Amino acid sequence: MTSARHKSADAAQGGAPALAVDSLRFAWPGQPPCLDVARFSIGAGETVFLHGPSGSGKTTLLSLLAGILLAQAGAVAVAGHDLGTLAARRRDGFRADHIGILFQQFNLVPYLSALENVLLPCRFSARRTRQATAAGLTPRQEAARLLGRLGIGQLLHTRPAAALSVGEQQRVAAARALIGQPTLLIADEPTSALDEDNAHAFLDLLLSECGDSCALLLVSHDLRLAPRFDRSVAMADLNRVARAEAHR
Amino acid sequence: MTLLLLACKSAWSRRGALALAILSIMLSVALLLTVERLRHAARDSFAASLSSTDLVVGPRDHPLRLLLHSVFHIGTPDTGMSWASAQRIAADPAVAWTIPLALGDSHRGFPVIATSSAFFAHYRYARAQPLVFAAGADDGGLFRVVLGAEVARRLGYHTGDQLTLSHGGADAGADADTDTDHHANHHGGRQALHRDKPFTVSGVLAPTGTPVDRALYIGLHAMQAIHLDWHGGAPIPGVTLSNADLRKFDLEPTQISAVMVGLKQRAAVLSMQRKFNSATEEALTAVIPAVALSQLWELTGSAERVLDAISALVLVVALCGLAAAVLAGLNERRRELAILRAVGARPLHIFLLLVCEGGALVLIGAAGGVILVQLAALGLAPWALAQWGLVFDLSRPGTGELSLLAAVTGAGLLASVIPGWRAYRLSLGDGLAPRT
Amino acid sequence: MRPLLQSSLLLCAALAALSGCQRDAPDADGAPAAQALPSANQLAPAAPTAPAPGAGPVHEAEWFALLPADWEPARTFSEDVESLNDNDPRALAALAKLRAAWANAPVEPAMDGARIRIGGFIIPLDTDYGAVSELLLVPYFGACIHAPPPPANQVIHVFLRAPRRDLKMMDAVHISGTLRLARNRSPDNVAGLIETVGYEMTAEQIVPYRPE
Repeated sequence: MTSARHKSADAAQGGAPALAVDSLRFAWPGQPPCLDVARFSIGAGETVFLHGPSGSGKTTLLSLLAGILLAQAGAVAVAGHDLGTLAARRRDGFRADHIGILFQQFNLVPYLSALENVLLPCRFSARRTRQATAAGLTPRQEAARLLGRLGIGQLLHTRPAAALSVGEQQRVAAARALIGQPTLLIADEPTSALDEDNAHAFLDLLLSECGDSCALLLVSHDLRLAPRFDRSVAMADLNRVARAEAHR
Repeated sequence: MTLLLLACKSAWSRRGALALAILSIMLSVALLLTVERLRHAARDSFAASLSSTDLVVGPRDHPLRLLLHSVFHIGTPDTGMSWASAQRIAADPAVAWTIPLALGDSHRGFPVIATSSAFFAHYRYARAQPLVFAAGADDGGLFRVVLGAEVARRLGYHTGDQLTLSHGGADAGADADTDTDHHANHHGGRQALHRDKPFTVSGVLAPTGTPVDRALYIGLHAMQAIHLDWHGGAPIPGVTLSNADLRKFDLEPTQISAVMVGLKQRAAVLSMQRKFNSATEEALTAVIPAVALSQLWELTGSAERVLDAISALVLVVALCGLAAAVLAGLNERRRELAILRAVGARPLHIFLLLVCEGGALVLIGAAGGVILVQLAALGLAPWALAQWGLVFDLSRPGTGELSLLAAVTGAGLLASVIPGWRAYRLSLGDGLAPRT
Repeated sequence: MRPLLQSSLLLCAALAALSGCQRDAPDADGAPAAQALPSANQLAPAAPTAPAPGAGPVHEAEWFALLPADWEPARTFSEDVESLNDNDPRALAALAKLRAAWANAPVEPAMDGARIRIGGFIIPLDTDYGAVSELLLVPYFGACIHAPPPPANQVIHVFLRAPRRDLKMMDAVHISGTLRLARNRSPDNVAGLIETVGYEMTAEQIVPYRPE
């Protein structure tokens, strides 16, 4: 089921699509294939909502898109680079440079402060540091600015992450995923641990911060969120294995 | 932030669980260092007890035994050497000075040495330091006694005080009450006292940090005098000699325990040693003190190496404990590691993070061990002084200690490779969803 | 990332290298800081005032060079000692005579001031808190244990400017320095009567013996 707003998969905004998946197949060792995706792409700056029941392979797909897992067959290309052609070290570096990741919960390193958590991607990616400081701010100042935009007060910046509420933690995690303008932000059920009001507020912030520069792929089982996105895709439509199971 | 800082913050957040592991490393490093320092301190103190003395001559005996009882007052001699031999040695044209020594009596646990005034003139210790009087002097009186610094301090004696000596070794009943001992003259099991011949303290020596501090010094004639009415280790019943009577006797000693010898030419020590060793008049042993001590260290060398090996083993055990503690905590940290992977950390970073953490913990433990040793040094030194009269300077770091600590840290880094490798494998397999 | 890896490996390598350092390396100033003990009068026996290290190269010396060319103590024996039994009183008397001759053996005056490097065995004489500060150098092993002592012109009394902890009894070493004739310094030596009684030397360098 696709949404009314449908942006061209080959992004008109210039350049390669944020994400392009082609004939992807993956199986856990010693198990039958759990993922079989023919085609899937996200344009630059596009926001895509991916929904499906648990067990349909969402998290595995996200791991593959993030380059943490390697597919047995097919290609995953982020910002025009096929992850499969990169050596493991380069892949990790590439992920640091181009991809931000948001989990459902436990996003933050508990013993680091909010600011330190947000700065983590800069620690591992020179490119993101460069882009974060492009406006003339130090990385720390940029992190503080982002936290401010996401509604985290100044006093909370130096508090250890474990001392923040779940809603605050998710917003700090969003800032961390966004710092330095990654090409693609992958979010795995980021609102599922929040109550309804907080969930909507969080999504608003996320979408506004992503803007046109950062593509967003958000996975959730909550269909009420779907209208806010450029496009909505069902896991069953994407994953031929899931479709086969559904029809059994 | 650097990987090291991240590792430190991570370890600090788990300090409760790691505290015991760090404590065991602290203790094992402290043990290692203490063993090392003790060995050097013991050698230094023993060596500093006697200086500038060319030979120690005594009755035929093992050279080490002779040195131990004549210089360190450890053990008692079985036999004595004749006074005639001592005089022959003193008369030798190659000899510059001699210090005759006779052991046998004690006072409240401290040995009493009978010697001549040459002792105060010629005895040297440490860097050729002579003996100095802190109070009084050697007035040459018949029943005068000079006290070592520790004796005076512990028993509270001053110049002019009177004391009574006990017959027999210093270990036969310390702190015997001199005033209320009714069985003073009863032989067999109890300390026998020379109650009728009290001595007067004529001087107290300044502290030397050697066994000199723990001894009392009387004249050779006095030693002879107090044993005149004794026979076979006990006073002869019914026989008492007043001090006036004593003057009528020949108080020349007949037997002594050893003679310290200083030669006019030090290089002649080898031939003089040979000469005294092969004297036909009496079977004697002549010892070069530095040589005998060198042989002592050869003997203790193997025991020291065993101690070293045991300490090293204890350290290895402690390091294994630390690695096990970190390994056991890895399961709870899989989320943390997954987050780091998500923000761009490579598996190698995870590995290095764990290794840095282990190394930092060992470094902290080792530093704590050094502090522990310094504290122990404060406590151990007075005990060593009290036991043997030796100054154990345990607070001075040895020359090899820095490299030892570096080696310990290196070993810690090595031990951390195990949890590091495990974390590396975990982070590879877990991906975005660790199966905790 | 890469710089971190490099620095970590460097640190490990440095630690490994440090730990490989010898623990008992000879320390130049092995003496500890002076202990807090009083020493009001320093009546140190007159050690020879150590001259500054001599200039000029050292040459390898043999022990024979220390013997005067014309010294033959055995020449004084009238009897054919080799035919005597060991316990024969004449043999014992001869032995005593030889011992006396050896104890008073003359020195070779030409060796005074010679800069030499000579190999031998150590007999420690005095220590500075466990570090050897004075020793005798003898030509053969066991010179005071199970072999007779060498004659006085085959013994060198060596003074160490920097006491050494790593030297022990019967260590085989090469010692370099300026050889001097030892004068009789006994206090009751009549002034003016200079009697040379052996060799002495202040060690400039002591290294373990290596056969060349």
